[in-house]
Order: sequence, then C-alpha cells, then structure tokens
Amino acid sequence: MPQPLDREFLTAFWKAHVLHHAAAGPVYGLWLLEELGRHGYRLSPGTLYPLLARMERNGLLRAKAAAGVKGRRSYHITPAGSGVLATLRERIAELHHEVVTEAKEARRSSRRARRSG
Amino acid sequence: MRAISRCGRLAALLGVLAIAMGCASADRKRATNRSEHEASAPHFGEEMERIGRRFERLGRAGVVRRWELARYELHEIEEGVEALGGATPPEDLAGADLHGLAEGFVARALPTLASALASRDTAAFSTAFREMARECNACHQAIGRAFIQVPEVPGAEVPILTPAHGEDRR
Repeated sequence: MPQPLDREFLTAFWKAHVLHHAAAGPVYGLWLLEELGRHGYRLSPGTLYPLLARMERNGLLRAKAAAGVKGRRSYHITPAGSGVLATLRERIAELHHEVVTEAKEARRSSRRARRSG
Repeated sequence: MRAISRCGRLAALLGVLAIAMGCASADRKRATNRSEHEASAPHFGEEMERIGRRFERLGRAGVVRRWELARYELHEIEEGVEALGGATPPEDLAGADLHGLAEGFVARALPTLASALASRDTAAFSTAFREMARECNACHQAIGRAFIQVPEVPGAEVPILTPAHGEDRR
C-alpha cells in the first residue's frame, strides 16, 4: 500500500525512471520492478502495474504483446512520452541544482563562516 | 477477342470470390481459436478462489509447523498465480496487465516465503506470510478488488470476513 511519501513524491520519480528506460527500448513490468529495486524502491506489482496503466491511458506509453514470453506485455514510449521526458530532464536538472548543489554549497559556506567567526 | 475478354472477367470475378471466401474462413478460424482459448483458459475468479483456499491452508500449515504441506501449498499457489496470466479476465479487467501482475507477484512475494519454509523457522514464516499477504492486498487494490482482503496473520480465514474489515461498520 503506498505510503504518504510515495504518494506525494516518489510516484513521480518512478514515472521518470519508467520513461527514461522506455526511451532506451521496450520495457516490461518485472524488469522495471527489479530496476527500481536496484535504486532502492521496493515496489509491489500492485503499485507498479496501475502506474503503467495510468501512463498508458495518458498516452505516455503504449503496451504491446512482448515477443518471447506468452502473455507478457512490453511498454513502449510514445512521442508524447518522449516530449514529457525531455521536459522532465530539464526540470530535474534545475531541481537538482537548487535542492542538492546549491544547498550543499550553502552548508559549506555556513560552516566556513562559523569557523572564521 | 470478345470471348477472351469475357473469360478474363470471369476469371477475375472467380479470383475475387476465392479471396473473399478465404478471408471469411480465416475470420471463422480466428473466432473459433478465440472461443476455444476462452473455453480452455481458467476463469480468473475461479482461479483466485482456489488460490485463496490454498493461501489459507498455507497459513494454517505454517502455524502447526507442517512445513511439507505448507511447501506444497505454496507450490500450488505459484502455479495458480502463473495460470492467472492466461486466465479469462472479468469484463472490467479486460485491459489490465494480469500477466505482468502475476509475474511480478511470483517473483517478489514467493521466494522469501519459500526460503522461510525451507528453514522451518516459524518467526521467518510469519514475517514472510505477512509480506505476501500485503502483496496480495496491493494487487487486489490495483484491480479494484480492495474489498477482498487477506489476513496478514497466518492461520486466519481467507478472505477476512469479520465485520471490522467490512465496508459497513455501523
């Protein structure tokens, strides 16, 4: 069951991961569960698949029958999904700059000021 | 000349007819294959019902430390969940990725429980059972069946039928 942090923030991270990987080639659910797990997100299939279904409904992904395993679906990024991913990349870079890089720099400056004062 | 032209038109007409009949035959074959698949594929609800019964028995077997029986039930659950991927879904789930859900469930929920059973460790079994129940409930929620809740404590009935977990708590 999604926790408040998941609902408020992490679902957006997961969607960015999905789009990023789907841009490199078709992905399928089990692979995504493992890949997200590698990044520390232990998602339940009951969380991931509705998310994929929503992304498909919103036109960001297109599901097709995957070759090889009967019944398996692969998810492909759509042109709309690629557009959203490009925008996300810019916003993530900007957010990272402010929330991580600048914040780190501000902490360093504050420590230096304390030492010299 | 006119006779040849008439023959040509007749041949063309016969060709068109043959193609049309071929298409109709292919359509019939496809429809037959689909209905044969639907007839032979397990129905989603019935398969889930069987899995539920086995899940309850798995919990009860673990509580009384009947590890071999528990392992058997877990194996049957795995087969049942895998069959769900090819099951005939109810109408409202026609577009859902049931194969993916089943595949993810088998990969995520079952190995921990299998290793707890292999180690014959009651505490590890209870923890793994709780995790599996949570995965079950998350999937139920994902497919619009949140009202079917399975207990996180082994040994209890499946699904939970006590009033406290019902939607009407008056």
